[in-house]
Amino acid sequence: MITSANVNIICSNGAGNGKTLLARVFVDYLALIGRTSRVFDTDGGHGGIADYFGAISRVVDISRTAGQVELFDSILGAPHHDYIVDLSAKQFSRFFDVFTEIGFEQGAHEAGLRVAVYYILQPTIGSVLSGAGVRDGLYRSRFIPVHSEFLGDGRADPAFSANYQLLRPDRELTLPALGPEASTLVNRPDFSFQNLFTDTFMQVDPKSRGQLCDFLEALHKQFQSVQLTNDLADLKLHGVL
Amino acid sequence: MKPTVIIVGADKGGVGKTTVSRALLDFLARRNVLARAFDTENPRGTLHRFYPRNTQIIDLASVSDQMKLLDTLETDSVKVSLVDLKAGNLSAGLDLFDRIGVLEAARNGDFNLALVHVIGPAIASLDEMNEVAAYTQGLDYVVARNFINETNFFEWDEKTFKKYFAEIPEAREIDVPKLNEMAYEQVDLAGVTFSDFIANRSARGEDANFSFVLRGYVRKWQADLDKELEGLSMIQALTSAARAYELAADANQKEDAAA
Repeated sequence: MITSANVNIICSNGAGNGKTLLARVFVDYLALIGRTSRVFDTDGGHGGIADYFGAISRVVDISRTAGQVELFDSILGAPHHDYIVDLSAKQFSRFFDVFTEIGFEQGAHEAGLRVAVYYILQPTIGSVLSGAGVRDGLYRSRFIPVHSEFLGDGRADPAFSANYQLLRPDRELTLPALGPEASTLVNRPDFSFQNLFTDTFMQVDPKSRGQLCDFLEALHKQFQSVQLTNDLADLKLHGVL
Repeated sequence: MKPTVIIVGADKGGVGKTTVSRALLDFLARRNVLARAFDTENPRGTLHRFYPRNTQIIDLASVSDQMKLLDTLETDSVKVSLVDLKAGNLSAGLDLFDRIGVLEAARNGDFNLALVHVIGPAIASLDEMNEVAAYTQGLDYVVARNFINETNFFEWDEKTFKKYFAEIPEAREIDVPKLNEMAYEQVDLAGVTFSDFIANRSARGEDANFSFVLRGYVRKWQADLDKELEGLSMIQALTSAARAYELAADANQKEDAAA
C-alpha cells in the first residue's frame, strides 16, 4: 500500500521559537492543496493553535493517559486525515517517551500513515542533542530539522556543526524571519494566512504584506519539496520506482 | 516431564497475587507451557474470571479439593499447576502443605515446587519473608516485588529489603514493573488475559476495540516482566521442557509422514 496521509509533529526542546507559527502555516498549506487535516494542540494555553483552528483542533493533555489515548488513538482510528501535532515544549520529552513506549511508529505504519517530525532547532548544542535523542528513537519516521532565521543558525559554529551530524536529517527546512510589524499581525487572534488577502487585512502596510507573502512562498515551496521527497521515497519503498 | 506446582501467595492482602498469577499463566502460555490453575479465592475466583477454561476454584481447607490438586499431579496431562492462594493465606497454606507432606515430597524430588511470594509496599510484607522462611528450605523460593500499582508509598527502601532478603540465601527476587494505571484498569474491566488485550482480542476471541495506547503500555510492561521471569531457574526448566517436547513431537510427526 502506498501511504498518503501524514502525521506531522511540530516540536522543539524550547518554548517561543515558532512552533505554532509553523504549524499554522502547515495547516493552511494543507487546506490550500485540498487536504483535510486535524490538529492537536498539546499546550492548551492562550495563543495555542486551537485558537486559530478551533473547528478542526483538539486540545489534549499529553501528561495524562487520557490525553495520550485521545491523541494517538484518534489518529490511528482515522488514518485517512493528515494530522498536525503542535507539541508544547513542556511535553516534548513525555510525548516522545510515550510515542516510543506504545510503538506508535509501527502502529502508524500499519495504518498507512507517514510520520514526520519537524524539529525547530535553537542555535545551541543542547538543542541539537535533544533533537538527536528524538532522532535516535525513530526508525520509520522522517526527521526534518527546522532552522529558524529568527533564532539564528548554529551551523557556522564547528562544535554545533559536528553535533548536527547526529540528527541525520531526512530533509531540512528554514523558517524565515518576520519583521516586528508582520509578527504582531500574525499573532492577532483574528489573523489567518488563508485570509491574508481578504478585506479584513487589505489595510496591512505594503512592507508587512510583502514580508508575509515572501514568508508563505518560502515555506510552501519547502513543504512541496518535502512532500515530493516523501512521495518518491514511498514509491521506492514499494518498488514502484 | 516432572509435575511442577507453583504457589503464588502472600499474607498481606491486596499486594497483587492474582495479578502475578495472571502474568505467570500468560507467560507460560506464550512459551507453550501448558498449565492449569487453582484459584483458592473460594467461591468468587478472580483468577477464574481471566482464565475460565483452565482454572478451578477450590477451597484449600476441603480435603476433596486438596485431592483435586495434589492427587492429580502425576495423572493429569497438564503437568504445571499454579495455585493462587487467597489473601492472607500464605502461612496457613504452607502450614497445611507441610502437615500433609507436600513440602517434604517436593524436597524428595517427587515433583517440583516453587513458591512465588508477592510482596507489596507495606513493611509487613517484608516481615512475612522471615515467617515463610521456615517452610522454604529446599524449595524454589521467589520473592516478587510488585510495583504494578505503584500508587502507594513504599514503606521500605532498597536497603531494608536487601537486609531481609539476605537472611534467606536461597531466595530469588523478581520485580513486577509498574503498569500504567488506566491500562491496568482496562485489562481488568475487559476480563481478558494480558496477551489478548495486547492482541486486541476479546475474552470470546473476537476482535476488540481496546486503545492502541493502552495496549502499547501493556506490551511494554509484558516485555519488561518477561525479562524478569526468564531469569528464574524454575521458568527456564519449564520452557526448556516445553521446547524439548515440541521438538520431539515435530520429529515424531516427520517420522510418521516419512513412513
